[in-house]
Amino acid sequence: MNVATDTCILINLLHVKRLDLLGALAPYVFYVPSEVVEEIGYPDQQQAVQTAIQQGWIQQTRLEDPLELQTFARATAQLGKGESACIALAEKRSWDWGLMTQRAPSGKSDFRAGNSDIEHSRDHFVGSAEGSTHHSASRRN
Amino acid sequence: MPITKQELGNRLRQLRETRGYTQEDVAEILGISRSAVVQLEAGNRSLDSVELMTLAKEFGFDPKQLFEENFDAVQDSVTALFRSDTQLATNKELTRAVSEWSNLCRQFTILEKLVGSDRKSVSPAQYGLLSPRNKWEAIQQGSLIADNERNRLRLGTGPLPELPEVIESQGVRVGHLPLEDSISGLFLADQENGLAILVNSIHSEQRQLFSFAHEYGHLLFDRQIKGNVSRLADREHLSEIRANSFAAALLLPEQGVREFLSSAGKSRDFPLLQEIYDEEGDAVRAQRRETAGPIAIQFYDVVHLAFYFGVSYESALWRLKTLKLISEEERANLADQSDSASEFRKLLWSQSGRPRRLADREGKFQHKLLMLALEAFRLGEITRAKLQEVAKLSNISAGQLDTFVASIEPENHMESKPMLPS
Repeated sequence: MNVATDTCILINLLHVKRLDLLGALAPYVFYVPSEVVEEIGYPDQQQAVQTAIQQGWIQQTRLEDPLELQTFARATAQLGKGESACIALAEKRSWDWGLMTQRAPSGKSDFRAGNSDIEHSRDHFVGSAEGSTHHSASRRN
Repeated sequence: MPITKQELGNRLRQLRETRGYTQEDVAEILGISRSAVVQLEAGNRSLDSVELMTLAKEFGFDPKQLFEENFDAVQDSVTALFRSDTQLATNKELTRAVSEWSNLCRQFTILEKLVGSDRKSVSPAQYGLLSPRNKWEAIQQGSLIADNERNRLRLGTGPLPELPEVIESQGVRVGHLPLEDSISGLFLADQENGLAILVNSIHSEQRQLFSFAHEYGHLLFDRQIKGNVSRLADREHLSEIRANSFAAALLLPEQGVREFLSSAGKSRDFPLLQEIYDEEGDAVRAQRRETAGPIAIQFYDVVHLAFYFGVSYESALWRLKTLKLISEEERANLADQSDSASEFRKLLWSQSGRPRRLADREGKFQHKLLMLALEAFRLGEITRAKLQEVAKLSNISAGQLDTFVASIEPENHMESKPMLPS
């Protein structure tokens, strides 16, 4: 199973120096779009991400299909570029996604990007493309 | 119906051409070969999302726009701007600055819609005037509409040092940018970007104020053309004459100028002969003698007038001539005294304090953008990552942003552990 993976997830794992975990969660394959790689700002973290790509723990991918680009462009109105890229990948390729983002105190319940809903649960937005399984914090707990 | 790679390539080519870029330019921007650009435009090579955003930033277009069914490369305001000024494309630094400004305006419009403030904003009036057929009509129209705007906005007859704020209150984004010396300002007008005015920040404060008024005039008269660059070389065009007339009459209203001169004992417009009709069927005539002493307007009167209304010495001179308060000969003589005028202006500054600097407004638009983004984040309309992107546009560091966000979030908002799919 393929998972489009956003920056926050990488950064959290980078903080505990355990990016290798993403390579050990078979059958999941974690893909990071180019936007996510670009959002990693610190040189040491950039190096760690490159190492993870070389080791095959995560796969770097690019959005190239016009439909992916369309979903991406629409989503960037409300989401960061990395988040938008993950949603576009998940929607077009029927992948799952892994996003984490802080919610605002009076946040609304969802965003819409293309045909996908982002479930807003506690401090996270997690979900999957329409028709796939939703992974929410409440289910996890 | 999603578009094909061929159609996407075709649309990119149209956008590139309307902005005067070559395939070599695009190759350099994207860091690829020219042949790759040729393949891209032919639909034989894929465009990726990073390249899409790079071109959107460079060309100043909305990436969403590329995928719309009714895509039209020549309909957006940035294209209109390039069409109005063929020299614009030759200065890539300037082109980038305009594109960046256009992107900021679009971001502003999106955020306004997300937080609902677009429903509370107003738009400037639109005056359905026929195009002037000659310079005379252009001047008359400009002057007439300036008076109308003064009345409509209840601006009275005094100076307008807060003109940028007045224009902003009409739903127009205003900003400064260092432009070529030959450009005084420009405007953009479309649904995606909203209405926007940019003036040349390398010009003097007085000239910038005039440029704000000039571009506002364009928005009132010429909004339908969506974008225009005001260059000195185009000053004989009727639309420029009309906008100049508007600016002069808005900043130096006839009644205000006459009142000012009158208070300085320099009114020469009092009629020497007045006739009052009475119901007896005849007119009562009253005649006064011409003032004994000279009442000629001196350079220091003009400096004082210009200082009061916040315009340049030259602007004030031309306005006095237009109002027939001085002759062409007097204007020319006073213009020759510009050195003395400059010294006198410095004296006024030292005694009265320099007028509020327009430069103090720089960055104000970006601050407003950040406020909108914080509100959109608070309302849950954008994510933290999107907020960070907007903050970067507003030159706010991640550390500064953390401070702001912490104060609008509940205390227990701290990052939780990552959630991964089960």
